[in-house]
Order: sequence, then structure tokens, then C-alpha cells
Amino acid sequence: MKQKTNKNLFNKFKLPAAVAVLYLVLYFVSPDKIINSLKYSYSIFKQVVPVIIFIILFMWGLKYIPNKAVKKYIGRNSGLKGWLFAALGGMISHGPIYAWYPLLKEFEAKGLSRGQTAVFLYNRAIKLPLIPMLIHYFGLKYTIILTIFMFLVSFLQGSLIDIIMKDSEAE
Amino acid sequence: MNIKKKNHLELFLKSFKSMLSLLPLMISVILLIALVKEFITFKVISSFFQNNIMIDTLIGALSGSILAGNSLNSYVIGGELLTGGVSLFAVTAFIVTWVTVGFVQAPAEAAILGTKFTIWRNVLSFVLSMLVSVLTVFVLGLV
Repeated sequence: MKQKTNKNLFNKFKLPAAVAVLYLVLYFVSPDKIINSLKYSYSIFKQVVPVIIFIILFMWGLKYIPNKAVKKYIGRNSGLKGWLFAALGGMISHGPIYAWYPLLKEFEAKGLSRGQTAVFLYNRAIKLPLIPMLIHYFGLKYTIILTIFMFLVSFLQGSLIDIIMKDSEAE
Repeated sequence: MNIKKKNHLELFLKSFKSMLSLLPLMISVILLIALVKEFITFKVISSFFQNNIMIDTLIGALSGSILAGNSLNSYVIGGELLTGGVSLFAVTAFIVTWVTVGFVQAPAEAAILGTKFTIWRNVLSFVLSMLVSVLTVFVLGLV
């Protein structure tokens, strides 16, 4: 039991420890860049906090929704509707991608398929508020064509993920 | 009533604790993103391209996979690369993988959503980014 707790603790802090060592080593190589990285990290963190709060509240709210209701709209057997909901969720989700992983895990526990998770994550590439900027840099025609292909390819990826992950649903 | 209130609080704390336990992982990812941004500058990225459409598309997809952050930055860098003569195939692959492939975020994704899922999702996103790139530029040439 104690061994398992130690292993969990090791796993939990493996990445933070590796990042700390990396920062320490690189500090001796280029201290200015490390200071800038820390300042930039702080500015990102300040932007991430509201998203984290929103996701905690979302996860809390999700606990009140019966699994059956969730499965009806986004479950494995929800058909095209479920795929479209996952795609739309990805498009309108705001903030950094890693903040959304815990919520997606909660949704998976409620019935979201692994493929639908992949569709959500892929459609984050379609940033609705940033479409005017994409048009500004690359033109309207390019933006429309790229957006359509990304949207379509996300379903191809989702289907492939569902096939690949079929045997390890309970990962 | 008190029992209900207690239940609400318990459910809230459960969500809060589950997010809190992932905070070290998220902070690590943030620190990695900042590190990559600081060390892999626009100058470094643009030096990789070789005026070969196929190799450049691969380099574009690889660069986008390693870099992370606001998508707007990918548009700005992509626009600069295009102005600098890099092909639209490469720039498109770069923009698509910027969001769909997360090399830096992979440890967090694997810890939360599973290693197998993370590997397959990122590998497929990488390969499909090149498909999206070819299709987009090809259709753009037709219309």
C-alpha cells in the first residue's frame, strides 16, 4: 500500500521535477532566457486561472446531470449528433488545451467516446473568435477551405481513434 | 436540507480537489511552453526551411507540433514564413499542428487521458495535418 502511494507520488511529481532540473541546468547556460521564461510562465498562469475556475464549476455542474442524459447527446451511441456536439464544444472552448483534459475525462466517465474526445481536441484548431485574424493573414478563400477540411478531418481522426482504442476503453 | 448542502459541498470539493491534484502537471506544462517559446525563436524556425515543398511541409508540421500557445501566434509566424518564401503547404501544416499536436502538453495529456490515446491522437494529428495541408492548397488552386 505504502509502495503504491510512493509510486503515485513519484508519478505525480516526475514531470515537475524534470522541468525544475531543466530550468536549473539551462539557467547556467542562459540565465536571461530562463528569467524571461519564468516571467512568461507567470503571465500564462494568470490567464489560465479563470479557465481553471470555470472548468471546476463545469465539472461540479456535470455531477448533477444523470449519465443517461449525457449519453443521449454525446455518448457512444448518440450518432452524428454526438460527433457534432463534440466538434462544437472544441470550437467554442476557450483557454489552453491542457486545462480541458480533466473535464474531458469526466465526460468520458459519463459516456463520451475516445473518438469524440479526439474530435473535441482537433476542433480546437478552429478558433471562431480568431477567424477574422486568419482571414487577415491568409485570405477568406483559404480560411474557408482550411476550416472545412479541418472540420471533416477531425471526424476521420475520431473514427480512427475509436477503432484503435476499442480494446482499451477502460484505460 | 443540511444533508443536501453537505452533498453540494462534497461534490464541489471533489471537482476542486481533482483539478488541484493536476495543478503541478499544468504548471510544468506552462513552464515548458515558456521555455520552448524563449529558446525556439522565429529565427530558429525559419532557418530550418529549405525551399523543398515536401521537406518544408514536414518541417512545418514538426515546428507546429513542438511550439504551443495562442493560435494567433501561429498565424503571425505563419504569415511571416509565407512572406519569407516558405510554401503554403508548410505554413498550413505549421498552423494545423500548432493546435492539434501537443508535444509539450503530451505528458499532461498522457497522465489524464491515457498514454495510448495521447500517442495515437498526436501521431494521427501529425499525419492528418499534412493531408489537410495538401487538400487545402490543392483546392485553393482550383477555386
